[in-house]
Amino acid sequence: MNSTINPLDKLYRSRKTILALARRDILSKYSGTVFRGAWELANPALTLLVFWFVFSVAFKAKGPAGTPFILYFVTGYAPWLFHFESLTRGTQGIVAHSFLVKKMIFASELLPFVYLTGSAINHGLLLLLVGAILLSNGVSITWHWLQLPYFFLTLCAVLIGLQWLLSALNVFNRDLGQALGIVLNVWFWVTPIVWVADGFVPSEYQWLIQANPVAYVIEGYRGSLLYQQPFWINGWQGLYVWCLALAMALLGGNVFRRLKPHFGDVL
Amino acid sequence: MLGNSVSWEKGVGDVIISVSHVSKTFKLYPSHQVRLKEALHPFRKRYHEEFSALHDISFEIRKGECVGIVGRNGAGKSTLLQLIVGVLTPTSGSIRVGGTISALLELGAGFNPDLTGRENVVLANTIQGAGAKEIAERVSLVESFADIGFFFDQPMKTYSSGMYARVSFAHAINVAPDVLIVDEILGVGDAKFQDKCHNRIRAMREAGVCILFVSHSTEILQRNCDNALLVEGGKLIIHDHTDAVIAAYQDLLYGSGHARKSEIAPTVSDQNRAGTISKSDQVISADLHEFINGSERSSYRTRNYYNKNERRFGNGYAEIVDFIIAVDGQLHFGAISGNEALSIYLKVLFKREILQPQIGWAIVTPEGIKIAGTNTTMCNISIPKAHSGTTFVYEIKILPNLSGGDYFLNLGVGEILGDECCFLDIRRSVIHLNVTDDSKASGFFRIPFECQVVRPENYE
Repeated sequence: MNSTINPLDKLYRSRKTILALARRDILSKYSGTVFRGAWELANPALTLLVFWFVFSVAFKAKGPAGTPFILYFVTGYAPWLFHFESLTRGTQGIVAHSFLVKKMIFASELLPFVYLTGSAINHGLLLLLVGAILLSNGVSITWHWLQLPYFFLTLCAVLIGLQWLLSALNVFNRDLGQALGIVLNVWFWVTPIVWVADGFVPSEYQWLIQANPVAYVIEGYRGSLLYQQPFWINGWQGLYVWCLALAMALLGGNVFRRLKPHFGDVL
Repeated sequence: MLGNSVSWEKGVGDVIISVSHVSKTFKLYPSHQVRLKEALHPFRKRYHEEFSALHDISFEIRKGECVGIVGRNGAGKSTLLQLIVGVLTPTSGSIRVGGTISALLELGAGFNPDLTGRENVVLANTIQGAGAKEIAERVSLVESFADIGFFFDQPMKTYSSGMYARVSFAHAINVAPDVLIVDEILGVGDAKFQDKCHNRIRAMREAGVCILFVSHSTEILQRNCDNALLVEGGKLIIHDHTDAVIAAYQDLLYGSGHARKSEIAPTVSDQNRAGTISKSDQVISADLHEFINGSERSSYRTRNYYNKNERRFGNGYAEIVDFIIAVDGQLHFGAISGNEALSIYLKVLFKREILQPQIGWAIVTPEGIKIAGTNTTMCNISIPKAHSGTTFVYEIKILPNLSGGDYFLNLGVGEILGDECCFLDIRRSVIHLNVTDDSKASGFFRIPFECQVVRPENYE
């Protein structure tokens, strides 16, 4: 509506609001618990432990080129968890913030950024853990590690449009939140997180991995952290993912804009 | 009416809120799913039905003005406030607000019930973009104004509605707004807190803050507001001085819905007459006798105690065609002494059959505060049925016991219909009572008073 205001400028000016809401969201997630923020790290750490035990110890699985499984898994699981968390929570975002959306002037389109920020904090913590695991397994730091922010931002770009779309629709139909749980579960297993894409997936299904934006990001994390690959190695896929993100943002943004006036009446 | 928007924002002139030709139509949907379908329909197919909540409303409010909004439930008051706040957008017309608004639209709006009062206030201030130092300052102001003790650090879901109101109001006034909008939620606070709020509202007014609020309490409106708006059926009926608006509102509630000017032209002249209700034994003067038994011609305008700024309303099924003051059976003009009995003779012409008429009166101060008043129903005085076309003269006898000063007298005729009273002809502030000041009492009333020494005994 207000075309004179640059959306990025608005985003910058709303940074305090976004930070405050993200902080509040993290605090409220663990309100009533004794260990509070510790759960934020304990959760993924325990999951990592279980997967490591099952695949590494029980199945004797190995990553490609003899990489220990735990290293292969952890570099994929960290970005997946960010994706999973921000999407699950972001979909519920407007419903969860109904106290601000109803009878208040509130820029609810900022909510996806709130959840991205909140999840990013967890993601940062988890990456520290990942770094520690990598270093203790003899992986050395290279400049390729600096590519992580690019892949992280790519994932954020995909998630913004998706969150706009899903959070707006979820106001009208809460079934969406339930369905999303199943979709994400399937999504986890079709993404090469615990298994290796090369030589495992028949070539006629390779496109499925190529089309999956999360797979691009996960492979990017691995390439940067484990294999010293520059990010342009998957250039075309990168372009595709960014186009997808843009299309998603246009679609999600448009649906959100059309539904926003109704939020107050439906919540 | 308005300058361009640029000069506006700079506050040229002192108009702070301008509402021009605003209409609001709500879309009603059979279900949320249908609402979703319409919102996302590629060809914008319409599935809704329309409900017009406000129609062509225009008014302006100036800086430092305190304006009340009255109207029946569902008249559109809250919608109007929400439009001004910007929570709703008008379907047509435009609203300009030249300053920051702080609004209390609904109990607990903007607060997360899972968070404590303090957390909510911090969050709300952060969202509004306040700095850390400012927030700390405001939080302590809110805490001390709300005065709810350790509950301030408890989740708001444990609050009573009064506590909610306290925190909400304290927050709303402490964000330094140019305009404060309050939608009828202060009513849940206790008397002391309400008083505190009204004092603060007055202080804010003096500081130039414009205040807009909805209330059903005529007393609160009269005490706080210069002007008021009456909204009925989505239309702005009048925007005038509070007294006039309240009169029109009460007419709407109890009368015919058409506040009339005080123009009476008696049309029926049936000579079927009844005597006075309270037949006094005293001898009455010839001119009083003439008044009681004379025609229905109105001559009150010629009397010096008649207040031509009276406010008159009612459905017109009966009319107070004339009235006169008598003391000791003699017509009386001019100042009265506060401790002598007054008789007010009320000549009422009934235009329809009224089964249970009611006669009432009240004494009000020039500020509009009612200091005394009653009616025949409250006092169990039975008033006989009146046929259409008859004229009755009622004598209202009161011992005012007023201390010196200016007062106004309200007179009214109503009809009892079951549990309700319908206003037939109400004349507010119709008589100006000038009570001579004998310096024996201050305040409004003379209350019989004695004082004597009881200890030491026999003290000389």
